[in-house]
Amino acid sequence: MRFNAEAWLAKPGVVAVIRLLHALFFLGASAYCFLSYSPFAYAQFIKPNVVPALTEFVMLSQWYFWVIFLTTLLTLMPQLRGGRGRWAAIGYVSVWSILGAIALFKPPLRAIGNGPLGFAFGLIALVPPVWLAVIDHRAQPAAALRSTAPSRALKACLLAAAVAWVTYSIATPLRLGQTSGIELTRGGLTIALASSMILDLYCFMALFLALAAVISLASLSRSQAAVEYWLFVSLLGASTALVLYLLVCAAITFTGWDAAAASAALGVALAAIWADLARLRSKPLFPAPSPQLDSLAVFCAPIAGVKSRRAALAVVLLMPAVAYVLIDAVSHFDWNFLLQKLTVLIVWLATFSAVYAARSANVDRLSASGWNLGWRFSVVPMVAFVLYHAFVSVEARGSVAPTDPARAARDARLSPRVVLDRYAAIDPSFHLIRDARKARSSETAEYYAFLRAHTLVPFADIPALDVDFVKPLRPAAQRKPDIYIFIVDSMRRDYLAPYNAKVTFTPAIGQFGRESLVFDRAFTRYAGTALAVPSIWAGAMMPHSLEQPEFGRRNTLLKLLDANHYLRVMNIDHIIGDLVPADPNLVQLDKGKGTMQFDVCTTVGELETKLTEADPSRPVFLYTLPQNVHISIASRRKVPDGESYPGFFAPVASSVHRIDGCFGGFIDFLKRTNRYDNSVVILTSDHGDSLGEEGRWGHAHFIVPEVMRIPLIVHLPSWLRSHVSYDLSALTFSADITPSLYALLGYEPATRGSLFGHPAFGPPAADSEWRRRMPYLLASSYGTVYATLRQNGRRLYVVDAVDGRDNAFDISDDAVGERVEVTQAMTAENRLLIREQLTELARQNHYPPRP
Amino acid sequence: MNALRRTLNVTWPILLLAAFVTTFRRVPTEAASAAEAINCDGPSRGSQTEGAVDLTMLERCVTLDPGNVELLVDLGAAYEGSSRWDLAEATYRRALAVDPRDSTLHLRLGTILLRRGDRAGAQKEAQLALQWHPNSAAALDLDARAAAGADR
Repeated sequence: MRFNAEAWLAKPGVVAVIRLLHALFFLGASAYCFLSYSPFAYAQFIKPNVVPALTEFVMLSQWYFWVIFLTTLLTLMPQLRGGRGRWAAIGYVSVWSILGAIALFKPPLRAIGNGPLGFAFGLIALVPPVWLAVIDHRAQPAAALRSTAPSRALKACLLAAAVAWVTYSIATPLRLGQTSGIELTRGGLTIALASSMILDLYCFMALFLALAAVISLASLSRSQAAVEYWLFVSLLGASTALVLYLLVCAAITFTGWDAAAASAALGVALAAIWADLARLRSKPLFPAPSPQLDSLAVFCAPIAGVKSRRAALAVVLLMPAVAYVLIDAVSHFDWNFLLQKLTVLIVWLATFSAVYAARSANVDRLSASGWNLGWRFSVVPMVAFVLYHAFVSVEARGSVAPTDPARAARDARLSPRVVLDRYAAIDPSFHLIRDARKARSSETAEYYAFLRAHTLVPFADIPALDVDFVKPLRPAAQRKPDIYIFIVDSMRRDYLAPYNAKVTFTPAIGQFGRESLVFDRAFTRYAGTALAVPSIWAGAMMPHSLEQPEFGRRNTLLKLLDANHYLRVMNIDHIIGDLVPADPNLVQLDKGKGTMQFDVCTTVGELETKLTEADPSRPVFLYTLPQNVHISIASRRKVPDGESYPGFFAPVASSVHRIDGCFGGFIDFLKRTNRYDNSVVILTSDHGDSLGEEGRWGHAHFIVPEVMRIPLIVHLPSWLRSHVSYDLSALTFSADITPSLYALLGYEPATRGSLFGHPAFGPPAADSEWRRRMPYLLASSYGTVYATLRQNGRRLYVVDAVDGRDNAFDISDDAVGERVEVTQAMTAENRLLIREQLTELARQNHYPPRP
Repeated sequence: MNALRRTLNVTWPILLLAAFVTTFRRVPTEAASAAEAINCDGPSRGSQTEGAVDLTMLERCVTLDPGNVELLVDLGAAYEGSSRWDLAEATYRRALAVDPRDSTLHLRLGTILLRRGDRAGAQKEAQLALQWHPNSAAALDLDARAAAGADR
């Protein structure tokens, strides 16, 4: 039997797969364009090339287009030969072949940059899938539909709730073992599972009510079934647009009319793609003498079709594995749980569609009253309603502190809120619902508005400002040491031997620690590189903005280096390139490499050569921001055979081990060349990272102990060390590095308040007790999340206006801290402190907070 | 009657859905614990009343938040102010149990020990303070006084 390619390509299943690939390509291109258009996403993900696969997609996109386009063309042959939808198909082929040819010479995705072109191309990229949907709807006859039976919808929703609950809860024991920082007793787990079941039931009953509302509205029309179907499609489009706007755009700080327009356009496109697939997947039953399918069955067809119950059942049975794999695939690269939440929504939609398809629709068995949307269908939703509110009541009562308030303040395990928070870390479905449940009191809404007005302040609103620690700044009178600053992006303190006795894989850094000063309570002011790095150079907290106007005027570190004629040897990343000018004092390392390619080993190799060639009479300053440990790099690292890191995240531990070897080699070089005892060597990081604590990965908006605590190890020449005093147990910030360098060069940097850095080194009579008592402001680099750090860095209170919650941590010990119950007094006190400090920051920097 | 029934059949899902959506969200602060009737974690904790240290308030605060080193330091200082050296020593020791690396605590405890005649203890605390705060003039002074036998 000869293979008939044309007949094969005309099969609805094959066409549906090609349509899906076509849709994925254009949705991907559109999403990339919208991300490029968003200043935040452009600066944080695209410019530094955090996701190399995205860059590869962009570079090859014009070729991908042609592969997709030509494949699609084959499926359009019946229409092009004169079938229904001929002119729409000819139009599609003509327009997109011309645009595709232009794209070969001027690839649009490479040209967009961060500007309005991205927004326009994002919208244009959504046109082809919608166009194809129109062609397919014209080409394929509409099915004769019957109205959806509410009883079938209700049963499907109930069953889908159960399947969705099992899908995620079945994996919780496994995730509990994989997630650090989560302690759940058996009783706590049981309560959490029961809560999760009630919440799932509530959500799917809400879905049933939405479907029932559609059915009841459609019943007012003459073509009830068709209206039902299109209302279901519209409901999907509207829900998608809402999710994109409220969840995705909010997470990447993309707000305003353009974010709403982009979300709406994507919602329309997704609804059109879904309807297209539904039309193709429900085709085999057409034409039929009488309506065999109800409107909801056709709507659900994209997942499991309409022909086979077995296929639908297989999808249902596979769902737990699919959900697990999806979560596993995205969790390490996730941005504040965003991708995990999106996979949950996809799994829910697929679960419902498959469950609905799996419930056979036997028309004959349906009684006439089965079509009637009677009151009796409200009983189950009402039971779910009562169950949910009973749960809410128990949850609220359980949060009231027991009789011993001190115990309540210390032992978070007693709080149902904390138990459920911990469970949320291992059940993404529960996490999604929990976050969606959060509402704000009017007081909190006003407070969040205040925080937003101080966050990501427009560049144009920030006036250029001179900031100086010493004025006038003359060359230091004393000997000038060489200064080497290694800021390893995302390196955690507890992955280094000087901070953690269990670390055996950093012997060189361990030795370096023994020869140096190990600051025990070092923190960053910012939870992300974008502001952490400028704050180090300025020695102060920054206006919360992605761009710093005329940064040179507030760049106190650069002023110090220039005043003392330091030769700057640096690698220029996407952030420092905007902060430090290229001038004759700069020797650039790693030329031609992107930020994410900065590797400490190649950097120090090149550095040693430059140092050998450098003028020995001139002091040297090194700045490097290696990316070896950044989660997007480290998580792709294959741990070499023979290495094992029990108790640590192996890819990161292995990367730190590699850093250790190269850093140790550089220290040996300094010793060999007699430079070590004339060098200040600082090993630190811009921020830490979450490596699975409570399910978190990487660093995004959130402020948590493991992200805010950093290593800070400083080697001083012996001639300097004996003259200064330093309190290693007092709170220190990375923003203290610059004023400390001033102090080490013999200056007396001005004291400018808690928003500025303070020298960690002082005269022997210096008192450090004030450091321990002051409250300090911390901030996320990327969103409306602020915190206070108090009690010498032992108490962290976080106001997270992105997630809509306040969190408190006790970080007395060396570990990653422990959650403590948030009390009303704590909230009032800390929110006031944050408000005062943000107001002061705006006042000092002369920018008006904008609502 | 039929019209009413028909209207109800059409509207109940919408009404019930509205009830579901509007009662779904919870204000988190409602669940926040009201554990503390007094604020012990800030400048407004009222450690002083009309110039005199409010010992009762501080003791209550320490009961509420036993891991708060700054509170313990304030309480220890208050005991010192009222010449209750034994209580001051015990309080500083409690604080050191929370944060054994705090150089200023070692210094405070050493000073109390010296006052109470425990020169060896004072010297040990001075050394511990110097371990975390090298070259500290205050710690070196305490060490020297303890070695010399001065009691304050």
